[in-house]
Amino acid sequence: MYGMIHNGMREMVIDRLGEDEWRVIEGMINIGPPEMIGMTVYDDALTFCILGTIAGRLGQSVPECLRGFGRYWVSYAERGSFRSIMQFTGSTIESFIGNLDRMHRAVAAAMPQASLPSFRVIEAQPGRLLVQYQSKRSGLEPFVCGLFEGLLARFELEGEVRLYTSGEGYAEFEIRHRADRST
Amino acid sequence: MDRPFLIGLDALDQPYPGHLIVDKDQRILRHGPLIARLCPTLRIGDAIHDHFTWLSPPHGGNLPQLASQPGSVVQLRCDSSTSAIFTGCVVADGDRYLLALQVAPASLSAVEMDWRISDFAPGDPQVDLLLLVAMQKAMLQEANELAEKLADERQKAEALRDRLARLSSYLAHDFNNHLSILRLKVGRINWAVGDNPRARRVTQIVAETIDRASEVARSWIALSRDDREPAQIVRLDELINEHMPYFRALAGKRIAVEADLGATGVLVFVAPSRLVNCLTNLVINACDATESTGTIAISTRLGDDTADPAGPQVCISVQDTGSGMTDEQLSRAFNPYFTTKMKGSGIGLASVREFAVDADGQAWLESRPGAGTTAFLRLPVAGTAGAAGQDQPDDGSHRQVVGINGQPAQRARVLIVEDEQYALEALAELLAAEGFEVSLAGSLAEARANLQSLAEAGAAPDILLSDLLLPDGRGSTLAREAQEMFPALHVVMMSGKGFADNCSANGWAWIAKPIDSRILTTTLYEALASGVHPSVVAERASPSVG
Repeated sequence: MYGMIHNGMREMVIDRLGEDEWRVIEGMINIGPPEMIGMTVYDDALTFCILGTIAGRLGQSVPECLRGFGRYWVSYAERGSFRSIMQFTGSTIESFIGNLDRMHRAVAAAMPQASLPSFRVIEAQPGRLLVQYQSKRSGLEPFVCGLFEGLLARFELEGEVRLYTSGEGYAEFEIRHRADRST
Repeated sequence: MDRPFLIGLDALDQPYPGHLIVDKDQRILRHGPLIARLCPTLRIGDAIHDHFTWLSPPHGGNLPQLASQPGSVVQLRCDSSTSAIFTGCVVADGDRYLLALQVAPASLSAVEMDWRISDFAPGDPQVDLLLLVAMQKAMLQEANELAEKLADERQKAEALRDRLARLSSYLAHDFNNHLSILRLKVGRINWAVGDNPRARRVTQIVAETIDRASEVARSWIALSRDDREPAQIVRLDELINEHMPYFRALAGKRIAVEADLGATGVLVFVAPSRLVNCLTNLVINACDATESTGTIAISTRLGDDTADPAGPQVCISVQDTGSGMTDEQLSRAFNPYFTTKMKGSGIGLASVREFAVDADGQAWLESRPGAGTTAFLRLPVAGTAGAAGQDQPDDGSHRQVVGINGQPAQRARVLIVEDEQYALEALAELLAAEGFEVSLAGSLAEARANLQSLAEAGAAPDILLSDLLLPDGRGSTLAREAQEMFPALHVVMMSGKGFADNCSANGWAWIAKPIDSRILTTTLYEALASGVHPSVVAERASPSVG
């Protein structure tokens, strides 16, 4: 996956456990700045190795860590150089998810080796979305759950995300949401 | 409404989010979601011209006529969002007119200007273009941040390397000092035991052990040796002038960089790349202190203080018209890691000072808040071949002190300056035994007092044998002062730290510690016998005692 993912993981560790902990992780799996270049595409094995190590340090299972990282990823992308692109993609959760593929097209044009997933809103009702996710990678459903949870928070919505169904190369997620009463 | 234009009105919103449906009087009957977003004050019944400016045709033209002419294109600008230009065609259905409009942001930076993908029709290629431009900017920003980070890390790594090198150097220096004492004492013992084979064998073993320890110290010195470009004689103004285009590129278009170089022909003994790095740091600091536009002036001037005991000096200054510094900032400016910049490492000025000190010079700042800052770098002017005294007429007085076989015919006077007491004693003992008349000093201050006494007594020393690093100053400073007082004085420097590059430039001899007594005496004899100032790097391979 591309280095921005690695950077996001690093920032998550630093935020939660401190910079020293990240140094320990670097030492454990022998990585450093060359593995953290944002616009470089790395072997998935490396990404999963980093993730697995982080999960261990956080005392979480890999799926738990993936889901947490999915939530973190939305706020991380919002903070950095992709902030304006995130805002351009959509101002509601439905339009954002609906426009994700177009946004990913631009990412793919900049990084042709990147293998990016596809999202399609297949049902939209007030307070409920059914989103189809397609990817060449398997096992990332918890991450996608976390992403949608992160988006709910981004658009100040309360709600739940669940894996609705899945099959060969795809999964469907149900997102139920309502306005956040605290805002 | 029913199904005008043969399509459901709701179906218009996605392909034409910026559409308008108006009546024959150009009053708005319906609009797309983008219009609602860009014109929040627009109400049904408002006229087009209340919220838009017709660009084509000017003043709106005739809607029935526009609708009847296939290929007619209309263009409007949204008054409340001048970055939005709408372009499209007019379609008529009875007395209602559809302005089927697509929006075109006036700038390719639309992504940063609060636009959304949903403001465009699905498949509108502008979206891909705008996203690509935004991706490029994001990647550029990332690359810039990475480059800044790398530069910062590199500076930190260099600073750490320099500190380690310095530490190794000082350790080696101290170690060599102690070995020097041992070596000299063993030399004396060897002399005292005469032909006793067993005693000589013992001294031989001790000497060899000292040599092996010396190898360890030499490896420390090699570790500490600066593997950057070595110092060399450089024409200062030429070097700066050569790099002016680079300094101007650093400053960019908003800041002018001017040169006022008044040290024509002045030579300095520095590593050119280090001096350029120094000036780079100063120019960058000057740029960072300048908020909008300004000027940076790089100047050189030859010092006019002929009485400066350190010898002739040249001063480089880098002056800016920036925000200036407070007294508190000035007092800490050269501290490593002190910075007033958000992303500064704080190492730039510290490395400038380090460079100045290494070159036997000085660095300092003058500044007032609001009145800009001037950074000064003062460096010794490199002498021509040999130091002061070389141009004095040779009256043969040197040769008078040398007899047959290089041994002193009359007692040559040596002032030994060494802060390590045992080393001082050992050197004194050795040289006295060799027939020299020795004066001793354990510090710079003591040596100065000693020189004064010798001058008053009319007993000019022939040789100054001095450690390079003394607790209260540098041996090189003492040497320059001494040669001012006694132009015919020969200088021999000693150090366990490493190579002292400026010895050769000053025409001084140089001996590395631990000192071999034979090498020491030979160097002194050569200095006296030749009448010139040899430049010797005493990394000789013959450490045998005797």
